[in-house]
Amino acid sequence: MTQKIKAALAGNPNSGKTSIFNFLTGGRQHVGNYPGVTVEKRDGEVTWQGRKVTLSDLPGIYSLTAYSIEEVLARDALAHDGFDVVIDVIDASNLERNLYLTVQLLEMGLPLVMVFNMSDLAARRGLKFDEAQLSKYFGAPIVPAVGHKGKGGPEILKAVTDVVDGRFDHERPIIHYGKEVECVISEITDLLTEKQIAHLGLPARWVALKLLEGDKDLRERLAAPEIDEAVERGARHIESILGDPPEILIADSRYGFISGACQETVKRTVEARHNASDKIDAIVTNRALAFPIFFGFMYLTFQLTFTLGEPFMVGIENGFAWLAGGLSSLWPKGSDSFLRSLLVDGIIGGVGGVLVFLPNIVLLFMAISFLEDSGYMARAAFIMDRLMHKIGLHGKSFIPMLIGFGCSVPAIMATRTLENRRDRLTTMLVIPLMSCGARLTIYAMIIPAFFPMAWRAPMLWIIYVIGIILAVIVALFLRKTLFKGLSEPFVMELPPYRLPTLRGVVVHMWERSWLYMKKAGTLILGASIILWALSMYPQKRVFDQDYAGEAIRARTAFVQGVRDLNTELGLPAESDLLSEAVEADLEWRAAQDAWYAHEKEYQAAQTAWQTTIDELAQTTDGAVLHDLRPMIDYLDEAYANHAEALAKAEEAGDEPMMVALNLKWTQTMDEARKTSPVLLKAAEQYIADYRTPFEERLIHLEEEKQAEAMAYSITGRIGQALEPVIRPCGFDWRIGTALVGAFAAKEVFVAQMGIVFAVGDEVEATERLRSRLVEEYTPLIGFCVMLFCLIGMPCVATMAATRRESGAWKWVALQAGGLTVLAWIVTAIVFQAGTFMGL
Amino acid sequence: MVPAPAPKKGFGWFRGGKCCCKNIADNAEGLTLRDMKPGDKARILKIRRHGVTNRRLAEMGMTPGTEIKVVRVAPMGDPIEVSVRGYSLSLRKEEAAAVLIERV
Repeated sequence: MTQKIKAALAGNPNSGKTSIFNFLTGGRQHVGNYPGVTVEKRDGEVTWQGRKVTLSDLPGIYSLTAYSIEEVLARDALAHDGFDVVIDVIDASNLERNLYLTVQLLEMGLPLVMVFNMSDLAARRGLKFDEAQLSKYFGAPIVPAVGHKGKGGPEILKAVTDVVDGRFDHERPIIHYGKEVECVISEITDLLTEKQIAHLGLPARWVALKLLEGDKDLRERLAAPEIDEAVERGARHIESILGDPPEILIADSRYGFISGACQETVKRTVEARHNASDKIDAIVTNRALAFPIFFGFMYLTFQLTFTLGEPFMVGIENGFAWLAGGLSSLWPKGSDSFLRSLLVDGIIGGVGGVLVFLPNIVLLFMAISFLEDSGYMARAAFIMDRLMHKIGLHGKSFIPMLIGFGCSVPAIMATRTLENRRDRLTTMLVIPLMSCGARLTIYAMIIPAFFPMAWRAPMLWIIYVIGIILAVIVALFLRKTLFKGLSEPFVMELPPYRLPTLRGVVVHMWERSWLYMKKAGTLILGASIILWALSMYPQKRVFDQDYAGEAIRARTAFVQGVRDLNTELGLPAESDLLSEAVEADLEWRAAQDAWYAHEKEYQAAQTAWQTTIDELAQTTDGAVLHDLRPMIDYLDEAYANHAEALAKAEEAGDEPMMVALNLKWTQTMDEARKTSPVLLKAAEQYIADYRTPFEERLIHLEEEKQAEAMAYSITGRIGQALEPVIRPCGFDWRIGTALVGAFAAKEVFVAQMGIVFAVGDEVEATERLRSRLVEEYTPLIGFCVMLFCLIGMPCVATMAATRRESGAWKWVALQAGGLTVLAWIVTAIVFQAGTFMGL
Repeated sequence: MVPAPAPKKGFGWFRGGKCCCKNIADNAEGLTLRDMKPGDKARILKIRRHGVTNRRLAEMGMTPGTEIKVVRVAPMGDPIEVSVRGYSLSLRKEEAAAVLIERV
């Protein structure tokens, strides 16, 4: 008696196999992927009467002929993983078709336990089974179960141990395929044994059958020309005599056996129709209602994924910004620490870049699991197929493509719902052409800069439509070249509607999100760090301008300028009172910046500042200082409050409120002017004429320094090296540099443009950036930039998702390379034609 | 009718021709699943070659002799839904054209 039992769960899609697996294993399961493909691989464990039973959930399949990747994987696992027993999950309410797989499993010679799942549903539909008799026909025990209610677990495990221990000894049936076919089968079987061709550890009869069924995968693996010849000859012989190719005859015989067995053992007490499903379908696929319902569901999916995900994304972003700020403050301000930059900009930025997609992915997969588990997904494909088939895609391609308007990453992950590899790859490759949300930030920056109000909405619309048209063209092109040949059959089951279980949806959602984190996440993180390093190094040590010297000069000019205020305040012209106070303030501010690193010095600086101010106040004219400083602070605070209230009112579109606020502001100022006219004027002059220009100069110097450092970095150099290549599109090295940065994420393009144009990467800089862009470029170039960002260079997250979902780097290379070349061609044509037309 | 494939060497070329003749003899009207309207019932006579579709259809239970019923046509006129062996299957019209049937 073996202690450990290795069992596989096999069954049709929609047979409820996964729910049986979930309740048998409880929480103890591990999800992964079959190597190189997106088919999920679940393993779990359960202990039964002191014996450990390991369970592998095989992909859902209808047959064992290598028709789909799932079938190949399931077959390989069954042939080579050495299972002690196969648990065949059968939808009892759809018996005949489910038993087709059972027959093939029997022919493979594997010990079998048949689980009649959803037996309650079958009973409600008036189906009665003579289980003892059926069990005899199929030579395997039959266990009724209800997967989503968790019924039948112990019985299944008991049957498993019975079979493994040899306590079940019904004879297994051999299906007879008719004289002609049997003749060919034995010929091939003999040849296989005679020539001692290694038939992959499978029963020779089964191999012969599969070869006759036209199984290309098996044929390639055997690589035995003499067998191929015999099979071909046999197939021709069979067809010439019986008029049908062997694969049809074989399927026919199997169904004949199944029908025969069912006729005697299955009783229908009621006329079986899927009443509820039929009624739902009458509405959901109705000519008038199908599309409103479909787009309603799509709208909900989109809203759930992006709108509901938004607060979580903002939360994650803020959390990481907070973390970055906290960590940053451990270093003195303005210091160039490698470690700080790596941690804050590289790693925290990278991890944030991975996690920021998580809310979208979790919610999207929740919606998709719901659509799939309920049975609606098959109907969505049913109603959309006509349209999608026209562009060489599948009905199910529509949903991932729609998701692409939100973000390519979850969209590419959603291509998993497509069973067929060709459809899946084509859809995946064109998804980046659906203009995603991140690219909207680029359009939002460029369109208002170059185009008048009336043109803005149509411009945005044109960009989106160009993306859709190109997606159609590229999909058709791929179908005509790389993926040519007859399109894959659309032969698809429309399963009865079912209420998805919470557990099923949550398990699905969790598994897929985890896979994203594990695989795509690590790639995105790595790429983010590399891109960070490219924009940081090599660091520029010697700058073209002496920025530190310039800052000191600006400071001296500021202090000097403040002297001009003396006359306003009735001080002697040569008085140093104000300039000394400003000097003390500036030093105090510098010391504040260095606070964290040098606490002792900070305290010393604070004392020094306080002493200086106190001493100045003690001098003959000190009273002025005493009054002026609170006035400046008062003005700063009052203005900041006013500006904030005004912005809030503007955002709310509350115009009367804005008028009232402005009125109140004028009144406040008038009052202040009445009480202390000289002081107010001096304070206003101080702020407007001296302090603000000084502060702006400092910021500008910092920005110019950043721009110089960026041009010196590898990113900047790549941008410069790219200039001759992107010149035909109307781009210069600055756009090139920003495009390189946009690899990390499309929205980075705007921030990078801000840096190379020395306007900074803050949000307020957008207006300044726009005016700089208008100075430098024409609207045609603006349009070309949008076009290039729309088509070319998918971001690293998209590439990571494609790598994960396609299973090979070559598809990533094709996608990224192909789209970038396409972007270049389209943009260059538009630019050249536009220039020629004098735009 | 699908045109006969180009002759191959040996006796194989004959298969195509013979196959076609037999189809016509079996099904004088040339009636296919494609010609059926929702609510129509039919019995499958034969499945013509159409890539891997014929094998797939057979595996899904659409074997000669099986009775099927056209349930509905998708809103855009393609694909169609048929009821076979107690469950619902959808297939495109071009695939339905490969299924030769007789009315019941």
